[in-house]
Amino acid sequence: MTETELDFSEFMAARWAPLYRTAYLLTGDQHDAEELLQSALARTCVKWSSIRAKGAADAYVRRAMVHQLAGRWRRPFRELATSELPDRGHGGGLDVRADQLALWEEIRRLPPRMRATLVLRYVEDLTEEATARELGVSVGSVKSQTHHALKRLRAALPDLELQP
Amino acid sequence: MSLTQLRDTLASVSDAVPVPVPDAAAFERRVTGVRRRRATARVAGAVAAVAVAGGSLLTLGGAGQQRLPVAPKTTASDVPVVVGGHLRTVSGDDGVLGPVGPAVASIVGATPQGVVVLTEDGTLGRVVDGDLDQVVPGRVRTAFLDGVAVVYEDDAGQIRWRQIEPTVATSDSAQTEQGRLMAAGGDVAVVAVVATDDHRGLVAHDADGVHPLSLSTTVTVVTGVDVAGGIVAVRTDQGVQFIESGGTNLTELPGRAVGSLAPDGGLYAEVARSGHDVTLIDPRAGVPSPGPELSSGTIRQVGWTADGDLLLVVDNTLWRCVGVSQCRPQVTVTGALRLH
Repeated sequence: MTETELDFSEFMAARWAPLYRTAYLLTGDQHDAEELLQSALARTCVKWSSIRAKGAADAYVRRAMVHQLAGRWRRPFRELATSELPDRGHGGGLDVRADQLALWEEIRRLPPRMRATLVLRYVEDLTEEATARELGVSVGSVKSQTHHALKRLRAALPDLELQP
Repeated sequence: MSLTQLRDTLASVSDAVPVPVPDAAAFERRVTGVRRRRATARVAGAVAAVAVAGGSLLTLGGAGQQRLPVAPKTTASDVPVVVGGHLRTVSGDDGVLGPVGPAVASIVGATPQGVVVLTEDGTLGRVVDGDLDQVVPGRVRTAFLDGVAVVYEDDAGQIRWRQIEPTVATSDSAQTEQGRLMAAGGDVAVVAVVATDDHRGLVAHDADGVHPLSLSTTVTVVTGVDVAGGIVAVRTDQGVQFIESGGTNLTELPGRAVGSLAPDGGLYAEVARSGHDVTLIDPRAGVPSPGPELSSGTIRQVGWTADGDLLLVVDNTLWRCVGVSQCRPQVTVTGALRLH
């Protein structure tokens, strides 16, 4: 194993879990999350020697995941169905509160770009401008996606009071 | 529930999801695959989009709605052409012109099932056994073939993908970018962004994301775009500019706005200002070399077959150049002859 490969292996071992969690939030599916992360890490591995700021490698992988998702949602035959979700049993295998689970199930039903917008804005704490850059869309599109995402969640769970 | 609760929910879900152990063998296979694809893209490219310069213009910063040139894509042997406004096919074997097909505005490209065309009323269809089967609903402004899918800009200005091979899918998806579809192929789509506040100009969409394409500051008009083999060729009022689809500028040459990028992106054929000669340009090195010599006539259009043969429309004759050098006339028609 070369020094570069060793370096990347250490990065992957250290960051696999948090990056997988991000991938899961982006995809809403454990299998898709693993596929997405493996693919993004493979791209990162190939370009590892050219990534100067290794401290920002997390962001690089995350961007690779978002870009791959963007490639999927622009292709009709890879569009993710949102009306029916696979049955994953009680709690989807997640040990979270019932109200949080209900909200998460609705978030999973959002179109992938809307879900990605929420994840980047409210989990990764990116600004609207940074989110737009990550998604490759305009700031106006980020605002619109966020607005419509919250509107959908409100409509699906009328007891919630989500404020924009 | 507030946004704080939304954040808390996402954080809780993130914390609760069980994390699998990385599959080292699967990861190695992916790395190998990525390396192989990158090498293939550098050496040859796998796309077959063939764009031919057209007369329509797009003014950067303007909001013109002119129909843009559409890219024809040919099979290995037969060449679809437009003769007198109707689709015809020229046999690659003997140059025989096939029967008169339906009236078309432009040829999008050839698929195993038939030739995809745009009609004057904006119908995007595929000609099968002489009949036109609509492949997407509504009116279409611009379309390109991209592997098993067609990439098109609908009448509302949305850019959509729809699978058409082996069968036409019943639905498609859209990207919300406000822009004009300029070219597509090889999993790359080039869009002219004219309606957003934060960016104006060309961007390339590929699997790695969205990449702004930087044009020379003196460029005011883009007359056409080709994309193939990871190379974007932008014809402008200043000449032709070659850019990697990832956004890296390669070379820039003054010249006429009539040319076409080869299916693998390795060569760009440009018609000389005189209209009598073709120059072949290496997009990466920017080095021009003489193209095939023709005895007479004016070259009106230039294009490529999917397997890399150069096509020339010289007056009303279609010429085919095997290996860009051994040229022979295939067919001469009565009436206007177009490759797209």
